[in-house]
Amino acid sequence: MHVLKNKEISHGKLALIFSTPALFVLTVTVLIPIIYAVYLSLFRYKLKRAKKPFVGLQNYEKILTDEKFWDSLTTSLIFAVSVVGIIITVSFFLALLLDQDFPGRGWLRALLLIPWAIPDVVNALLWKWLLHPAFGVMNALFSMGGMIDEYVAWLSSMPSAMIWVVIAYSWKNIPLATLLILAGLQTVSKSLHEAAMVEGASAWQRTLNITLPLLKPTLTVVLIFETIFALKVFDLIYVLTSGGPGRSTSVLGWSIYINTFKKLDFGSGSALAMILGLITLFIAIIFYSFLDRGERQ
Amino acid sequence: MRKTITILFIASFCFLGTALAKDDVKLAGWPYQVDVVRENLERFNSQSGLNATYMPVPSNEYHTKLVASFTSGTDYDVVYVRDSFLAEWASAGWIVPITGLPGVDDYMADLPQGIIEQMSYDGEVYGLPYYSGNSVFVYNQRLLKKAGINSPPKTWDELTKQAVTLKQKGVVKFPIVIGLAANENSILRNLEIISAGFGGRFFNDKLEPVFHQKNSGVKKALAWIADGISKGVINRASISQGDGEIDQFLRSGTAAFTIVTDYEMKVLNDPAKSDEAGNIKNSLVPGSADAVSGTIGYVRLYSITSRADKAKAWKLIQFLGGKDATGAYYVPKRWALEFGLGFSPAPLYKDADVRNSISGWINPDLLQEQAKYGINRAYRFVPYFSDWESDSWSAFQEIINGADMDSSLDKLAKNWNELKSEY
Repeated sequence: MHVLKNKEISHGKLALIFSTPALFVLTVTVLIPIIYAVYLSLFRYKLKRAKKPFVGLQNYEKILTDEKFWDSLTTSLIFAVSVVGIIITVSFFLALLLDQDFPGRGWLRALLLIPWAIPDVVNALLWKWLLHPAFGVMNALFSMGGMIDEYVAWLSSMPSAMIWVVIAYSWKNIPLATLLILAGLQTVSKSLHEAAMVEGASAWQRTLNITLPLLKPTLTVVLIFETIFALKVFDLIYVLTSGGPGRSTSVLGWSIYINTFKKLDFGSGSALAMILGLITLFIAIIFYSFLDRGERQ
Repeated sequence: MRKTITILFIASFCFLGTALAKDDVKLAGWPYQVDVVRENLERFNSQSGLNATYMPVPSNEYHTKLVASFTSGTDYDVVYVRDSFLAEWASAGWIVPITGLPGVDDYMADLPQGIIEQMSYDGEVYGLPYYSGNSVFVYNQRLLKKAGINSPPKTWDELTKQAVTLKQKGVVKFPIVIGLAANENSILRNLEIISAGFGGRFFNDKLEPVFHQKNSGVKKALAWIADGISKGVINRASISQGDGEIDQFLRSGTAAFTIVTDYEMKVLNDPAKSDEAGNIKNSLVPGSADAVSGTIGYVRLYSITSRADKAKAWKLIQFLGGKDATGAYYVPKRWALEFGLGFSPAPLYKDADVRNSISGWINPDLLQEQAKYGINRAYRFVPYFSDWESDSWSAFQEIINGADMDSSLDKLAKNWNELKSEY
């Protein structure tokens, strides 16, 4: 029990008092906007129109019957699966490397943070210049290496536009995933590895049978985070490809932007945002249920 | 203690009063030459006794941020307006007409009819021009001579042939670059120009789509671009390059032909910014058997918002787009002389300083000739245009990259008709 001005208050009440400011901020900045977006999604809310009638679920119906939505969803899923696959794989091996004891490990860990520390838009601009069709470093490198005969407009055709968007996104997000996995690796007892070594297990066998099973909770959390982040991607697409060429990199985040801020259709844009939110939530629940089942076993 | 609080209270009240008194007229605009705009406003403030302030808003987000500002009760009195926003902002009542204000008729007498139409919605004029002009075709004379070509192309077919020659002779790998990025300033604008050169239009006078019809100029333009990219004479990078970005190819000599807005010629021929300064020339946009040439005009104007004190805002607009207290077109002339921005008031065409200045980087006679081939784009002044336009960008890019032209254009025509009936 805590004593405050001669009155005793319970731990529960104290926790409530301390968390009230945070709850207030979350309510104002997250909960209310979400509720308002749900509300808007039920109206034909176009800024350019004087009348903004209630239309119920019509915005949702229109979106779900529009082939552009399914194209964008497919693009988002292709993007998410690609980047999450690359990020998890590369981060896992990088974390294994950084968990070893070698000279300069501290420097390498610090260097790894650089891409993560770069703001998203700056990262996108950086890649835009690297990939410039006339003056880009990538073209110069590939040309010097004899891999291309003439400079290539990487962002003007498929599948190269999507491949480079995936690479640019992965480059930026691998450091965070690596750090999380590295933190997970620190919890794996060295004695287990030592015992396995005594039994004659190879490095690969130890990774497969000790490290991976014990890292499962960490990897699942990374998987959830990265999937959610990847499904929400917008700024990289905005700067690098504007959803193009054509609609080939038009992910759901880009479609929401076009509907809401180009067409000024806040009703449809909000409905699309709700659908993306539900898809993300659904995927997160599936991952969590796997995590939960794994922990019970 | 009480005394201190009283003094602080009075001081803060005075500060607040001063701060409020400072903003007689608030101007919002995209951030082009911010320092120059502020210098101009200082001159206005000293001449008028008013206090005008300028708030630069990022170009890429200008439309979005201003619309958000209007819908939430804007704080701005005068705003920059692109002609493509005019119908939307005027029909929503966010900006107000200047018709009937003192001196308007005199300003209108100095402006060409085409520019007045471009600044009008529903029969009312909504401001004075910030800058205006046309898109022009440009070529690199040095590169053409190197390939043995003595004069610029007059038709699109001739352009392709010249580009093939430049490529085959190894003068430049991708001779043509055109802004075909998916944004307001690129793909549709350039398609309008090229289509006009093929004698085509996107919509007829009744605002019905004609671009999807058999053998339309738009189809010819799209086919010409797709063919040029497949032959390697049009740089495929065009698809990801927007207005402003294609300049780099001309300035570095990595392209020989493009289409730009007239004022960009100044940068292309500026020795401090361009390796090819002095080599970049303008000529008429190529034509075809169906048309001599074609181009599109543009106007950026100053408009008064619905929240403004109209008398004060009109004073600022006259200073910025019309005459200052000395009776001179001070600001439009300054933009033309120092930055090469296009202008519309007739007296500036006769101004010796202006003529001498622009002759250094653009051929004024050809510029004047090009303006005669400007096409009417009334369809851009309907409120649903921007909805249709943002869907059209990706569709055109897909066609250029090989999607079926007929079905894609039919879908776009259907989309237009649906929006038209919805509005």
